[in-house]
Amino acid sequence: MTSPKRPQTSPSTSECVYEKLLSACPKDFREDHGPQMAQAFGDLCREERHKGKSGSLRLWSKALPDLALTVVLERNRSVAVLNLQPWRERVSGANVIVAFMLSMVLGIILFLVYGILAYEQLDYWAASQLVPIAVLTALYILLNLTAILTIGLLIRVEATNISARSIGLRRVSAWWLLVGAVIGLLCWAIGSLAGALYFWITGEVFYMPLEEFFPGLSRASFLELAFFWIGAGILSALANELLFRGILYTYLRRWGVGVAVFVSSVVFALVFSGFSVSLIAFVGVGAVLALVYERSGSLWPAISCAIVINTLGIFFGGLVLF
Amino acid sequence: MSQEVRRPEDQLPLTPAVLNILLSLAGEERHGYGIMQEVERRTDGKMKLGPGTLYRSIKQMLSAGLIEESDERPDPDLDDQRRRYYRFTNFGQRVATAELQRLESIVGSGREKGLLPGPPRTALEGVQ
Repeated sequence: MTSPKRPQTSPSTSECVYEKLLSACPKDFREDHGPQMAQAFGDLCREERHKGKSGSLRLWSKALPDLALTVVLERNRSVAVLNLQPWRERVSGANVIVAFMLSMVLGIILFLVYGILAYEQLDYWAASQLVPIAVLTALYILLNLTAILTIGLLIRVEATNISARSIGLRRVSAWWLLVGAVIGLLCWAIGSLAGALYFWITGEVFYMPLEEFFPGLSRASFLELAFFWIGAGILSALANELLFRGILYTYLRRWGVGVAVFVSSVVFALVFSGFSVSLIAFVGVGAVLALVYERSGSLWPAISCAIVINTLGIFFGGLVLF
Repeated sequence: MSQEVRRPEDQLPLTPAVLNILLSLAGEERHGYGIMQEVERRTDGKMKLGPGTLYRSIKQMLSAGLIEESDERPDPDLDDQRRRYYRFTNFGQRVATAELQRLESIVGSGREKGLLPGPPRTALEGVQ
């Protein structure tokens, strides 16, 4: 009854590749089940060979999505394994989506309003001239407040599993706040210097001057400027850090520091500079802010860093994070 | 691991993959590839478990106590490679039964409502 044992052939190229790809799985899972997954894949390969047709492509078209899904799901689950400090509870993908979507709603409305005005005036510059600086500031404050309140709401709602602590709002020593501020100073200095250098070499603008987005700023009164500083400088820093570092970075952290820093910085940069040359600067600053959060374990040093950058940028020009 | 009393109902509903793995382990221990083959054969090719999905479910089932590892030995029908065999635990068997009963009562409701041909549920009571 027993069929003759088939000779054990050496592993095919496909099997070798599959084994290499298995290294994307989290360590625990890989140690427990990796060899067996490779074994099962080898069996599937042999099955395909036996059927006669060269079904390599068909096999891979099923095995690859299956493996990719497994990697994503297992990594998503292995939060505790990745060396997170105990107070970093799980931020879910749903939290990220809700936080961003609700916060951006007002931004989209703002954009549409501007679009309509600009269309009628056939000129963005002329359209923005219509709106006094105080109103622009108020709209900007509203945008940032929406972001902050959205996240505050997410924390209050029982159904979500995030708390203020889990998104980084954790008490930290004054030393760290100072460190954040100093790093902010350095970031602003280096960033603005890089921008100035770029301008000096190419003659092209690196950072869009504030005046272009907020016309009338240079002629603003002290009160208007203070109002602007609170809204665009401080509230903006708060909202951005909560969204991009507090929610997004904490969520991405389960895939490792590298992935979390890279993705959150790129998203941050795309939102604030789009596909322009200053993208690189924003990715850099975003990475620095993410690392400050990571190292200190709290969002407050990153917020202090961002506030310093914005303050210097508003009053002296150069890099700003809004 | 946990000292609390585990109730089969707490594990329900089962994902299709988990249910099918339990079904394929009924009465016989199998290794991973064996489970994949049996499920594909039993569902007429409609359900094909990939290695990733299979072992992800196995991992879940192991930690939930539905299945346990048996031993490592070669499969006489395949080759000389040692393979890890699995079998379900008592708890796993109870969970499988509970899930099938749950599904059966849903099917029964479907028959009562005329959505599915066949005798309504009351006629099936007493049949084990």
